[in-house]
Amino acid sequence: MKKNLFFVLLLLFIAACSKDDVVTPGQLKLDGVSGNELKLTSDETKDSTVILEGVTAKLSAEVDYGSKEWCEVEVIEKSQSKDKKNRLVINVKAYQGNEDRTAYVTINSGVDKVILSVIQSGRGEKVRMVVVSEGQFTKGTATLTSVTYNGNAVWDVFQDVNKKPLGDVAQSLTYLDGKYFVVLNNSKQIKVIEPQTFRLLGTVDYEQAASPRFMVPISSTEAIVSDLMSQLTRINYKTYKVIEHISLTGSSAPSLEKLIRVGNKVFGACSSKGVAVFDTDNINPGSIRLVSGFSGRIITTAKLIVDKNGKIWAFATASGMSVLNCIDPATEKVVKTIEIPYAVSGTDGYVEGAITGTSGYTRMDTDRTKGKLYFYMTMLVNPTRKTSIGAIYTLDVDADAISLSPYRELPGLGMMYGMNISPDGDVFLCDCLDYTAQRGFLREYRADGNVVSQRVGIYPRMVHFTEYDK
Amino acid sequence: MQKAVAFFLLLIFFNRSFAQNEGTVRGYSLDSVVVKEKMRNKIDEVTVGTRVSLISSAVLQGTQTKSLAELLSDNSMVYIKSLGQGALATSSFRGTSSGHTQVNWNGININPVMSGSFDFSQIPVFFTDQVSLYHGSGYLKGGTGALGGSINIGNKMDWRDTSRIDAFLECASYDTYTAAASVSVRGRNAVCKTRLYYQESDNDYRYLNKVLKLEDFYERRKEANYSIAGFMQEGYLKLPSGASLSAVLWCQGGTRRLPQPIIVNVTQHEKQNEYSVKSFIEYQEEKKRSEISLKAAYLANSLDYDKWFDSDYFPAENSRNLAQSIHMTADYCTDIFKNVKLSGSARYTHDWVKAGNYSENSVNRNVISLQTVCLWNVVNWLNADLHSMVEFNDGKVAPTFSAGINSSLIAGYLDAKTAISYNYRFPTLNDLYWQPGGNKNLVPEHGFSYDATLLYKQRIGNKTFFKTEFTAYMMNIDDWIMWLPTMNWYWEPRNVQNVLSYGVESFTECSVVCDKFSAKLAFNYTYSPSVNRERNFEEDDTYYKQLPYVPINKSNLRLSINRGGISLTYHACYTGKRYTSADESYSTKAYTTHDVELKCELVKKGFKIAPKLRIDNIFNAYYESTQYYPMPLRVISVNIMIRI
Repeated sequence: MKKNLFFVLLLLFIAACSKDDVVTPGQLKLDGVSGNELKLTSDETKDSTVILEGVTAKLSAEVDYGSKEWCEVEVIEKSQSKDKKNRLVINVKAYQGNEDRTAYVTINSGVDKVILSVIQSGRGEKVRMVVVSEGQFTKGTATLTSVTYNGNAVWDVFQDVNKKPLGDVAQSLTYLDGKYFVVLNNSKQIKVIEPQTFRLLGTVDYEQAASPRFMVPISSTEAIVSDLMSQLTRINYKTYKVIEHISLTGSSAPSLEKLIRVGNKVFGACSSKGVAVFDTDNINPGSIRLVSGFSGRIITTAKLIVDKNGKIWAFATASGMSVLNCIDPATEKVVKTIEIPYAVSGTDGYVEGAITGTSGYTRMDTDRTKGKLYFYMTMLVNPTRKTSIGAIYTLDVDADAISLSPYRELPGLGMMYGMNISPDGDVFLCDCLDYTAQRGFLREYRADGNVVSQRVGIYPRMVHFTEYDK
Repeated sequence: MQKAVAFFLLLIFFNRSFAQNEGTVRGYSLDSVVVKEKMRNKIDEVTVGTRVSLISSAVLQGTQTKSLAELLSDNSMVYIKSLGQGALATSSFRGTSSGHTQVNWNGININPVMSGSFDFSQIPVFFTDQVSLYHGSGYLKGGTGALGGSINIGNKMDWRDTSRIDAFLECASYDTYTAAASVSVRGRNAVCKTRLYYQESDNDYRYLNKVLKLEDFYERRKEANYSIAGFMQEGYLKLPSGASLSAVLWCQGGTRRLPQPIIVNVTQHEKQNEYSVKSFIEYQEEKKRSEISLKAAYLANSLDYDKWFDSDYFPAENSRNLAQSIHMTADYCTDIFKNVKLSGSARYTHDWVKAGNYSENSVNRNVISLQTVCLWNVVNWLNADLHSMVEFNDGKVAPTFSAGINSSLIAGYLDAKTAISYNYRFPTLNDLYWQPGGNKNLVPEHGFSYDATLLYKQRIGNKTFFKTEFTAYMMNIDDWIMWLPTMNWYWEPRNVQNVLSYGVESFTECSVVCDKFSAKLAFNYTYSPSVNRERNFEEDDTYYKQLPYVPINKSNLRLSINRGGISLTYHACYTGKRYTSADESYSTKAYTTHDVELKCELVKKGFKIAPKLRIDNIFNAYYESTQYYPMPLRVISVNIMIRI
């Protein structure tokens, strides 16, 4: 009995002496978070501290394997803190932005275990779009402007990151093999850029006369680049080397601009000829064909668009009208044309809201669904003074006529130099103002009539949406 | 405008009031007068209030193998925008564009009739005896067009010289070789002088390219070689009547490759062959109270441009342009009163151009201008003049004027002058007729110019001289013409901006002259803001932004020391940051170059030999006058001059 009493007293004594060291389940309490969730926003780096109360035992914390690249944790025990409370310091890293993501941090006291969810909502700082600006010819002022979902812009992000200029006259940006390929017309060069960081990875340098424009992949390693100088250039986009130049002189399509690939065929906008087509495994001047039945004179600044039905659309103008040509890639024939007549002064149709024309630089685009075409036209606002403004009109690809009410009106637009539609159908205009050598604007024309403008580079010409980086 | 007038009136008031306080001043000795005396044409060419600066003959002698572009860049306040040694070099005078600098050769306007922009790289200093700069738009003698200023180059015959032969050879870095010779033969009433010049250069300097590729790399300048050859024949004759007859023929030819900016992969070759003939004949007669001058000039300039590629893949391209001009001028000057001089001048110019790129096969232009000048020596320390001119430019009438006052505020020490002028610049033939883009609806650029100058001179003891000169100026240029892209894929000139240019120019010189020792220190500084003063639309970001390629700050310093026939010259030139876009978003870095020259002169029995060592850009600095066009790094040249 005495022994038992002594043993109990001894235990009580030990318990009393080591009271703080005893951890019981449920005692691991995280202060500063609710529901064991820590919500952070994305920055370059972010330190966040979670206080662990009532814990006296040795702690360990570990981030799940998939998140270790961007999330780190460190435990600071109470002996090192002023208030004698344990602290868990969570360090989150990010690029300029990232998709929303969650890291799971397992905190273990040896007795108790809690899983803390670290949720980083990075999309706001993620780059939503990249604006390509040509810059002035021979001045080396081409730029890329990154714009985040939050609307924050870095107007010359390439220069900021690489400490060197992008080049002379940027024509296009193509996402390929996890990289951006920016074609520089007058530098005779393609710059290869890491999309997450805008770091320069390499250059494709032309050694023969060229004026490269637009690029399309034709295999897992090769791409074709169109050129103002009556040629196509085959490049290896893995090794960044020019493979060959293919002359188009004497072919049925001596000059190609915008390119698009459908299956094993590449379709290209051919000035004054319509749309040309060639096979990816047989690229030579003799094998290039023209799509038959093309109506009007093609506008080579407008993209060729593949719709949800697999048909290709091309924008053209004819006498007193614009024409949308719908092409069946299989038969290489125009299967449908949509005419958009212009209102003529002195006729009954010359009323406010009537379509009066388009631009020689006009643009066409689609959204994520590929069920609708969006294109730039001019709309009459004052029949008496014969003044028009720009407007975006749409065509449902299954319909036989365009929607006569504009999708967006574009008041305050200086000079349209580019237009793109976001995957969600938002309208973005590249405004080069009056063409003087100054930085232009990216203008978002919202459905509620508001216009959000952002200064970008000189002569902005296209917007690339990162959602399509796949 | 009101501010400008107020500014001008204030200057006059300041000038007058200061002068009236100095009742004891006597005489005047201003630069413009000095220039007039030195020029062969003695009709007043520029208003007495205009600032005139001369490049000293010592500097001209030391830069015989250089081009006018290098001379002006290093020794004047004019900013020269160059694409590299031997390549296109244009000017910006008082914050204006290259077409606003008028260049005159012996009083004849030699700006290219097609582009209007003068290429200073194509004028070897060897062919000049005088270079003077008329600041501002007050110089009307060459017709309208000098909105920023005029650069007058002249040939001068010194009747005191004996017959002689001068020759020199120079070898410099990057395989640059120059040879030149001149022969003067003097008779009792006639002098003739022949000059020959040749220069060639591979011009393949090495530099670090930091902009084109992922890794920085060294490369040599490609496609920058050039050669230039020239011949000038001068003849001067004193006629028995006391009149004089002079005739000059200057023929020059050159070929040069056109280098690309280093931000471009060079995949093509471009070459330009340029041939020019400049000639004039002049009759001058001076009588007791009058003076008459008749001059006829013929100018021709042919430019052949070729572009080709390494392979036969693409066809070569070329263009041929020929521009010719005839100038005829008649000047008459007389003293109508003891202290009033009146002069009149009539000038006719006919230009005709054959250019492959013009909308018309052959383009002609006729310009007639009538000018009067009235110079009034109010009192012996105060002068005033008024120049008025009307120009009929292909049917368009442009009346202009300039007026000035100069005053010796403290005789021998302090001078002051001020000027006002109104000038035009008509669109060039390229602006009007180039295809595509030529715009016949352009109106002339025009505007007022005002400036005021204070000049202080001091002699310290018998051996030291000090001179300093400050000028403030302001000018408006309206309907500024710019070539801009259009929605039709080509560029087009348009009257776009209204420009305000203002600033300060200063020149300070100190010299010490002893028996066997002399030293001179000269310092130029200019501060020249030049901005678009009107918004073209609400979001116009060029409003009050500095114009591209106009440095706000520019300075140069020259120190020369001479002892016993050995001279050492040190020269430094600073060019401030230049914006390269209209909204100041882009700029190119400021730079400073340092040059040294060591020269020795050995003279014996009428025979002189002068070896010279010169190092340009001694610190091997990388710099760009035009962005992405690197300039030569260190250049070492060895030169020997012989005079018999």
